[in-house]
Amino acid sequence: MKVFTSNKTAAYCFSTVFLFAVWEAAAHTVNSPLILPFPGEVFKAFLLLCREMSFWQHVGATFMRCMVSFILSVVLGTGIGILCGASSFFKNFFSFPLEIIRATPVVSFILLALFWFTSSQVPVFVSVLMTLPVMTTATAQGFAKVDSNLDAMAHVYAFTGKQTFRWITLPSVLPFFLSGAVSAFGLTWKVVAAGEVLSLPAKGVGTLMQTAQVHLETADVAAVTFVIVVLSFGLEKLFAVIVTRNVKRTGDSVI
Amino acid sequence: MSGNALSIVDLSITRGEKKLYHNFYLEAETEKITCIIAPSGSGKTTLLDYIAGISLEHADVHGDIFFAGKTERPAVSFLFQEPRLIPSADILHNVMFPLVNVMTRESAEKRARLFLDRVQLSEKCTSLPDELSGGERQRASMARGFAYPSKLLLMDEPFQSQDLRIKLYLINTLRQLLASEKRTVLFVTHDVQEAVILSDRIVIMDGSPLKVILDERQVKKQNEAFVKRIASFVSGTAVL
Repeated sequence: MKVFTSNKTAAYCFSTVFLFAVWEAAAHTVNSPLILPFPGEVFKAFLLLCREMSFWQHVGATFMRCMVSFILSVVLGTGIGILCGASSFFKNFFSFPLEIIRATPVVSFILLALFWFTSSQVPVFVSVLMTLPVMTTATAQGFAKVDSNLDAMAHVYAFTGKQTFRWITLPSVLPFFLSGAVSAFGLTWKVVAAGEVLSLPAKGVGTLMQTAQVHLETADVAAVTFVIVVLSFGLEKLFAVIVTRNVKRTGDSVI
Repeated sequence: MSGNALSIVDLSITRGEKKLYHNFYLEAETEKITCIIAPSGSGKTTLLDYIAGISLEHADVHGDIFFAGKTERPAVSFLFQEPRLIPSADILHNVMFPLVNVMTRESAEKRARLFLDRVQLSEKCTSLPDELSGGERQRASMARGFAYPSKLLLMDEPFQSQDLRIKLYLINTLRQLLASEKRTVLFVTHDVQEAVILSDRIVIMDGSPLKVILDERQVKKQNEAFVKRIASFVSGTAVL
């Protein structure tokens, strides 16, 4: 197991070094910082950005939009997922709209939402819309996987609704729900950033990227992208660790 | 109906195109073990589910059921084919879950521990079901069934998936529990040996829809009537 873990770490390190080497080589070949800046230049641009207070205000605004849209998506997605899992009518009722959302390109929703919402609200609305099918499907799947044999046992032994939910429904739904939440969390960052690039709110990393792009500051665009990747990846992993720990902890509680 | 803890009257169950039961009647005597033998897949589990009040999906059900002459369903214990223990809760809590709703938590724990001791699982109280063997899980299920204060115990081939040694051990445990805790038992199986070892009365069912083709009680009654008629004939009070 230890050998496997160290092999995995080595593979990750090698992969990272390889990617940077390819980037460096490609930048040398192109030899135009406007088209493809060197990794060193991007890192310098990143350090300069980090020193500016306004940069963190942009990051903070995007972070808040992500949190708001994620919470809304979890609440709405769980509610609709419960309805879909509990009733085949609701499952069929929501199936078509959710399929439409899945099939529609993000950019279409962003452009449409610009007519309906303020530039600050567009990324939130679009993010909720795009992550809703993920949460709904995950929650509904969890409900569909509830063990009907255990349900029958609970009925015979006159379990209370609370007991049935805590000990039979929740253990079945929770893994699906959490897996959906982690996926939705990762997706939120991407959609919010895309929404900000097109809607240009006063504060947001998407606005920052768009401004840098207009001013042909390619290194800045790459540096902001790097920040989004780090925040999205890091927070997604952190969220996954928190939920995994909480799932383990639920097994300790009593009746 | 006073002698019967359970009476099924004119039951018809149809699932899809298949008629599982049609104009079906069955009675189970109070505190006796009635064993139903029928082929696999014929609808035995469906009958027990109906008695236990478990909703029969995609089935059309007609008929009446009386528990000691009343239509109100009393508390029922059920030993399923599989132990059906909650995987995330330890054995003690699995036995306690139904009890905490009908008695105080302290009494529930005391009673759960008592029955776990009777099935010799007192040392496994804190184990999760996955940490037990198949036989131990079924014993935990028995402890739950007997700890639950019910008059009627339904058993759906609970020894089916066990090897012979464990099966005999489980049957012995069950007999000891039944000796101390009297219950009306309805036991379905397709294993004649299990039926002969455990039951007070055997009912054999077959056909589609299922119907009783041999009822030990009827045979005994007929034999008694025959013996009476012989006795009357011998004493000269009746003519054969």
